[in-house]
Amino acid sequence: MNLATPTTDLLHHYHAALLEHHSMMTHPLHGLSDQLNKDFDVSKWPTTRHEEWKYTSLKALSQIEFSLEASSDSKKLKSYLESLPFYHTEAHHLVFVNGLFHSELSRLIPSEEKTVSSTYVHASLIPEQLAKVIGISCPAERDELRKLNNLVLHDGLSIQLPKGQTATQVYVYQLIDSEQPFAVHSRNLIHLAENAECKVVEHFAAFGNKSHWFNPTTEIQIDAHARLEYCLIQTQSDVGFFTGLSYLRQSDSSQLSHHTISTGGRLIRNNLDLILDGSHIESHMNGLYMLTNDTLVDNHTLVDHQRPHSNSNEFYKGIMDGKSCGVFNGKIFVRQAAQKTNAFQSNRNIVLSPDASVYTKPQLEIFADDVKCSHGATSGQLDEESIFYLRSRGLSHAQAKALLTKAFAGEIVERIPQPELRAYIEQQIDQRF
Amino acid sequence: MSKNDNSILEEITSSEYKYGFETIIETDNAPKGLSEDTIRFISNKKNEPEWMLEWRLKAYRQWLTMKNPLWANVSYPQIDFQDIIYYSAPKQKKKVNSLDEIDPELRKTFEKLGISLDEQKRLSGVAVDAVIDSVSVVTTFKTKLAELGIIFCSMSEAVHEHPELVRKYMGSVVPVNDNYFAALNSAVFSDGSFCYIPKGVRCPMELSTYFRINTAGTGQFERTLIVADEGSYVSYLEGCTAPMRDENQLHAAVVEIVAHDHAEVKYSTVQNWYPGDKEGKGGIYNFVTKRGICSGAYSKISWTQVETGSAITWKYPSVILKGDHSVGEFYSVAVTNNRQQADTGTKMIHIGKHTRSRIVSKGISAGKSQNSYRGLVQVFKRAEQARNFSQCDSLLMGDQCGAHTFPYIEVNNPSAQIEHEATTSKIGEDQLFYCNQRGIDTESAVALIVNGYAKEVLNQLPMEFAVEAQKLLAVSLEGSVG
Repeated sequence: MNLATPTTDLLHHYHAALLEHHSMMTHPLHGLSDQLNKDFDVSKWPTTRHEEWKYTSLKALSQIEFSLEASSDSKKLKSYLESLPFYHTEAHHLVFVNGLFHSELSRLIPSEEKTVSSTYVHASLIPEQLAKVIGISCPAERDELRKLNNLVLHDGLSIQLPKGQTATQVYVYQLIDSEQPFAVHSRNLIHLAENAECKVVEHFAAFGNKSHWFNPTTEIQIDAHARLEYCLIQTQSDVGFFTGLSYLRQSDSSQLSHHTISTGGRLIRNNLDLILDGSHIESHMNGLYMLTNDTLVDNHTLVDHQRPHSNSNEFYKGIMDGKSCGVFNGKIFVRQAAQKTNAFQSNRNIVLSPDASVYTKPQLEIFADDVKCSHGATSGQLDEESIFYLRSRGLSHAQAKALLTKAFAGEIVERIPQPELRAYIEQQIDQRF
Repeated sequence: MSKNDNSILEEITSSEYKYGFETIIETDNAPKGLSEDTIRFISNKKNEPEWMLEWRLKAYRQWLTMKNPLWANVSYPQIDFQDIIYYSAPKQKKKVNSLDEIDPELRKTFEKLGISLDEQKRLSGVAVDAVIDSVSVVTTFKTKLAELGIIFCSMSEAVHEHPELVRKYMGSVVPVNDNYFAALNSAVFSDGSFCYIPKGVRCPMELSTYFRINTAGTGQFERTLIVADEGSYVSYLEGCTAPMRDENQLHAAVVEIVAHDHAEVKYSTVQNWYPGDKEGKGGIYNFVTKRGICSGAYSKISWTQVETGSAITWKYPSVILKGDHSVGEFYSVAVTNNRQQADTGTKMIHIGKHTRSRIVSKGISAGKSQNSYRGLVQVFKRAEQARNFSQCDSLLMGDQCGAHTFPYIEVNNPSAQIEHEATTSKIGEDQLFYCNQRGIDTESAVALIVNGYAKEVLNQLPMEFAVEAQKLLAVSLEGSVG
């Protein structure tokens, strides 16, 4: 750690403070987190010289002095939650504020306590279950961000579903409300045993005009024939940073639908790693990102087809306005054993303003011959002819533009199963255009 | 069907390199190794002016500070740059005016390659600047071209006779410090071709060079410079075959193209260097920097390549679209077999307004080979109405090979319209079945399908080359392609 340049100085202090903080008490996940790599080395902090971070600079993030303390205002949080249409639905509602479970605002179904709860609760209730999932993403930990998460391990969602069980819909709210810049390094642990099924929505939001940073790690194991629907919604403000890793491992005949919706944040980096360790798997990954102002969204996805007869389908769409920058990097690996694989990927972007930019890099690496793989990437603007058509029908230019943009986004939104959620996202889009 | 398939693939993988023979000519070699002395030796041998030597030394000093790039999707043992002979010229200094004066051994080599100069001269009207190990042996049709004011000569000649043009353009598209191998080439380049088309002239014939790597342990470092002045047109062909060798040979060439207003340059390559044997022993390392700049409005540069040879191919013919309304094209068929590795693609840099580019890349991998497409489409902020279409398809033959695509798309202007699509698949069983039931056996069917698959690119080649390219495809995938 001799590389204490001004840009990494603050990070170095932050890390040191975290170490000290954690040495003073026993972590709720102690014993479970022993094998995790916590050797954070500030000199290895990602820069744009790394191929994986070519377009995404973390410089601004490393210049923030994060505090370890945060105070929150329950009243404000409550009124915010009340404003969300899906908060009122009959479901599990887990609210985490500044990295800790907020029991007052949360609503859980007591009969399902052993299957759906917070990670800290499950750590004391069913530690042997958690041990099976925690750390499965280790091979995917490519950078120092994960090590910070390993060190802090804030509270997060835990779903441990036994064979054949179906859990009630789960909503997770990760909120930051702090007077000082604050970072949350939450950890979600999900294990669906054979034939289990559940639907999860994870919502990220923050309050105040101070910088905040979400750095979550989600580890998911989906056993044979199990089905998971996971939706990530990021609605941060222009002072919000997000760097997350979702690591999913699927077994034979399991099904996954994963949605990532990013509507705000100064810098959003989503890493989605999907390991298809079985046959006849079906995976769908959808993404919608729409930013404006001086912001950046970076979706890095990896699909690793390891065995034959699996299908993956990836569809990401971006609408870039203002000075925003959209980055997409989609890797598809097809191993030699993974014959009869179908892997499709598509990334489409609309650039609305002259200062916005799009960097996309679809990447196929194929080692098996009997496969069907394709990818497509486009970048363009709204079709002039379509706008003209709508204008000839009496719509104003702005209305025509808004209608077409909404239609463009709609293709992703309509794939989300929960009507309350769709309504919420549509409302977000309406506000924008 | 699968058994049949396997036997076909077996045949493909076991086919031997047809052009493996060595011409025995005495050569005048530089001592092995690379130092400032080697560069002085080369420069001295070629009787170069002082500025040229300075230029080389500057490049060498830059090169010393650079590192061998490792990002490409290829693996090979470290190259020992001190174990290479940097200069080797056939000992035949007499100037030749007619083909009859050429060393008979040399002429036999060309005949074996199927491009006897006499035949070329008589039949196709192609001017051939044959480069055998670094020095141009013969330049034909020169007088005819000279009448039009076209300069087409070897680089060493150009340095002496047209220093003002060489000084102006050399290194203007690929700067000496552009990359590791370009710097190396700038320091030690032995020879190459120089071509200048004056204003408004349409070159009446296809210009062509035939490169051969001959002496064992020789690195060949050609440098080609093509300048097309306003409103001119030229089609340039480059073809390569090399004899069989066990030792790996390094080839680091640089090709620069400058197209002024309304000029058009078409550059076609058929590359069939020794790919190494079945176990991946030997073969050429082909690390090439090719770049063109459309510096004028409405100019056009088109790259067409058929890559079947080399143990390792590492090349990205690029176009910088600087002039408004300029056009860049890239058509490529890359075939890899046995243990060949290819990392090839293109860069289209859109700087000017209304610039257009088109990329069609077809990869065919067989045996245990790895074939990668790596491309960049970059749209600068002021490149209004830029348009790009990219298509990169991969065909896999056999389950031991790999196909990879790494397309980079960087858009900084909202009016740009960029499309990229890529597919990977094997030859469809339904397609084979259809052919079979029409009485075409599986082998011919595979040939038919592969030819059809590559057609889009082969169609871009000049007539004289298209035949040879088809032959090369056939040789590379022998056993299945007729």
